[in-house]
Amino acid sequence: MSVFFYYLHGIITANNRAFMNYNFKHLILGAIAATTILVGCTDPTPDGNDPNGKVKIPKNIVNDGKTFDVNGQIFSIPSPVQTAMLIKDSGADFDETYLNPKDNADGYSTMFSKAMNLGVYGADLGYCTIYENNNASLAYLTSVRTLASEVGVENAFNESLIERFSANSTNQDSMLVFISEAYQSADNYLKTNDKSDAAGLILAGGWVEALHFSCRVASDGNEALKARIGEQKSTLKSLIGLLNSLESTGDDFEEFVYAMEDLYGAFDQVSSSYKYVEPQTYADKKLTIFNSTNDVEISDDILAEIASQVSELRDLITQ
Amino acid sequence: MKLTVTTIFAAVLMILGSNVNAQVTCDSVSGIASSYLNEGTENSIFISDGQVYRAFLSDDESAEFNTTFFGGSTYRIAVSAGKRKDYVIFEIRDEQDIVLFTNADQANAPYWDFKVTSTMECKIHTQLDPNKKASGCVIMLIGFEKQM
Repeated sequence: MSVFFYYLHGIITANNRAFMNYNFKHLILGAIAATTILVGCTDPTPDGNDPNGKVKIPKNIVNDGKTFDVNGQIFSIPSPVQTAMLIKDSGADFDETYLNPKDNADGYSTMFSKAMNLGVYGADLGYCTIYENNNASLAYLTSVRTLASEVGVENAFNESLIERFSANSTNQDSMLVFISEAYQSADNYLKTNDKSDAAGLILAGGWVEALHFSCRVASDGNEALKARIGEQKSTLKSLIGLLNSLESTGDDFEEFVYAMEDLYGAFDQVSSSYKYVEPQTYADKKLTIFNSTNDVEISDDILAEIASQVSELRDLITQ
Repeated sequence: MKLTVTTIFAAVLMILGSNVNAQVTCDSVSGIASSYLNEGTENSIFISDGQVYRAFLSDDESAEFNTTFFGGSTYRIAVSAGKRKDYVIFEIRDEQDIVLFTNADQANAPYWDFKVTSTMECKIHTQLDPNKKASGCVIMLIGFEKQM
């Protein structure tokens, strides 16, 4: 609407004296444009289209580039919250030394470091919440808000979220849902506002932090997490493809991508063997069980190499 | 000259107007998909992976989403392209390109749960059911299950 008024104001200002004699064709075109804008700004029906579901919107209206589309494929990166859940399920204890100190949030000056560490702190927040360390969760939520504001997604992490989070501080499930919804809202906002680069960096930061947790726990002798680390090989490949598709520039970004590519060199030594087994579907439960097997092998030497590189990679982001 | 400038300006405005509408449409579709993420659950919740997968599809176009499902986890995939629940067809293939599931066999169900025995790489293809919708914004969400 504001565009239309700006346009109308321009016509009136430029043609103030002769406005009444303004070319009729111009007014017709202006009317068409106004109608288009007004229609475009009307609240949509719940499905946003006509009741028959038959719509024809030009392909270029919604830009496919707003997704992480690399060579026609869109990549999904596992949630750091899920990784934290898997770590807890493996029997590992909470360890605050794994986390990026919350006060570091004030020291990040570039958009690269802010977006990456928004992802890092999201993983830290998820880790604290999974382990029901409520004081730490609230403290890390403050750090998340600081960076969210600077990345331009403060609406996803607003005062209401803090209030709901605090009011449900004894309900871990609600807190996890709030965190995930906030990050989902931020992701959606960034992708629909041509800021996919920031969305991609947040994802990458969260993934590195979650992998850092896994490496620290596995290095302490937790065998269950070794295979979990090896299973990240494909995700790393996807992330590198995603990063290379972004328009981000700068020495810090390039250094990070090179380090991720080096890390893939270490992951490339992880072997796996997949075997298809027919799935079972239970329609009444809306459930399908995937029975295929996939054995991942990762030696202690490779694990040590990966853990060392992840540590350096994380330092690159957080320091 | 004035007519040309005005014509171009009007065309730009028309595109902007349509874009606003399409964006609002995608946002409303995203809300519908979110509502499927915890529909019908009792003793567990599905926590979103924090990402919104979107694609604008028309005719026989399809979008391909690559993902890793971790062994020992249960996931829910929720899809939407509007008010009706059966607009979207999605199928999951494994790394050997074998179809593991398609919701076309389940009346285009808008969500389905998947219990994963062993970690696996999958490709999720989504497309509009050509008999129900010609084009539009398709949203897919992935949630992982946490027992309450």
